[in-house]
Amino acid sequence: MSRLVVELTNRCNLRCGHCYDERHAATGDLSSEILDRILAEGQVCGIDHLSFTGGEPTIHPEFDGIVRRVCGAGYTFSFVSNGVRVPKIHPLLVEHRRWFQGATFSLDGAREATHDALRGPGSYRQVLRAASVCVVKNLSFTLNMVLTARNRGEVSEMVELAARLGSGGVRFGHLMPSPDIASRGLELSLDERRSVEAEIWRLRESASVPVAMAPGYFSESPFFPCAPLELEEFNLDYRGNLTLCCHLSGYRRGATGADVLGNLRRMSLAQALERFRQRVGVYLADKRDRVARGEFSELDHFPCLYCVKYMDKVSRLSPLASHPRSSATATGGPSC
Amino acid sequence: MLTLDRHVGIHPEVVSTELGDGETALLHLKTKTYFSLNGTGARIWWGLQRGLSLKEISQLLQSEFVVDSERADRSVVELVDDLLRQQIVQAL
Repeated sequence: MSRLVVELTNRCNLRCGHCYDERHAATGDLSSEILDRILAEGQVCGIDHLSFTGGEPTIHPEFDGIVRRVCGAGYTFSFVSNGVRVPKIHPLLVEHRRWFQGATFSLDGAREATHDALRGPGSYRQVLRAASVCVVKNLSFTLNMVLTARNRGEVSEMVELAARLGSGGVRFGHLMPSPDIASRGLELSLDERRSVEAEIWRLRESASVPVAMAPGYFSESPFFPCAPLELEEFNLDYRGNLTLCCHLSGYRRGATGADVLGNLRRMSLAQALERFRQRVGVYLADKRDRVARGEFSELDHFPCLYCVKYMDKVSRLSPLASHPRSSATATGGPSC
Repeated sequence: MLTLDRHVGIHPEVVSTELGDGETALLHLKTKTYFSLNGTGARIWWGLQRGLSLKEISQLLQSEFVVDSERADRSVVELVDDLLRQQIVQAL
C-alpha cells in the first residue's frame, strides 16, 4: 500500500526564518470536495495512509472533522506540525489512536535560543509542551530538524534530546533552496552538507533512537531512494493538485507547474496517479539520458537540488546559481 | 522539613499543560523529566502557579474536595516535596 501526503492548508501560525514569504501570506485550505474524492477513491488506488502537512495542518478550520472522516473511512493518518495546537487537539488524537500513527514535530535546534531564532520566541517550548502531552497520553511522536547554518553544530545534541524526550526518532533534512533563504544566510554549502551528513551517519550507528535523513542527502548513485519515485508516496497540495514532490509547494505560486500532474477537481485520483506513474517514468528516462551524456554534476548528486532544477521550482536567479560550490553547474538545468 | 507556611515557585525551565480532563503534564526542560499530575495534583499545581502558600493550597483542596484538613495538608506537602526534589519547583 502507498501513502498520500496531503497539504491540508498552506497557511501557518508561525513565521519561520527559513520558510518563504508566500507561505506567510497564504490563505488556502484543502476543500471538503477534494477530501471526499481522496477518501472515496484512495483505497481502491492502493492508498491506506494519509500524512497531513502544510503550512500547519492542524490549523485547517475543519481539522477535527477531517480526522473523524479519515478514520471513519478506515485510513490511518499522521501529521507534521510545529506542535502549537497539540495541547488543544490531543483528545481528538487519543480518541482516534487506533488510526493515528504519530506526529512529527519540527524542532530546528536542540537549544531553545537556536530554535526560537528560526521559528519565533516561545516556539521551542511549544514543541516540548506538545512532546509532553504525547508522552503523558501515550501518543507517538518523532522530531524533524531542518539543517541550517545556525543549527548545524547541534546535530549530536539533537539526537540526545530526542532520546531523552522519548521521541520515536529524529530525522534531519536539508533546507530547500530559494532566493528568500539565501538572503538570510541559512544555507549550507555543498561541502558543509556532506560534512553534516557524515556526522549524522556516524551518530546513527550509536544512537539509542532511530536517526534518519530525509531524501536530499548526497547520493553516489544518480538513482537515489525517494518515496515518490519508488511510487510509495504521492503528494497532493491544498488546491487539489497531485504533484511529483511536496517540496517548495506553492513557491512562486506554483508558477512552473512542472511537477503538477493533475487536479482532483477535474479528474479521478486513479487518473491522476496514472499520470504520476508516467511522469516518474519520464523523469527517470530524462535522468538516464543526462547521466549518459555526462551531464550529471556534483550538485546533481544532492537529489532535491537536482529536482529543484529539473522542475524549475526556483527562478534562474536562484542562489544555487551563485553558490560558490555550484556556480559551474546550476545555471543550465533542463526545462520541463 | 517542608512546612505549610512555605511558598515555593515554579522552576522557570518547567512547562506545564492542562490536558482538560483534570490531568496536567509537566516537563522540565533541563532534566527532560516528565510528570503527570492527576486531578488533585493539578489543583495543587494551579495554586503553585498563582503563588499561594502551601497552607492556602490545602484550604483550597478542602473547599473543593471531600477531604479532611490532615489529609489535604499531607497531600500538598508530599507532592510539593516530591516536586522540590525533582527541581520542578524551588523554595522562595
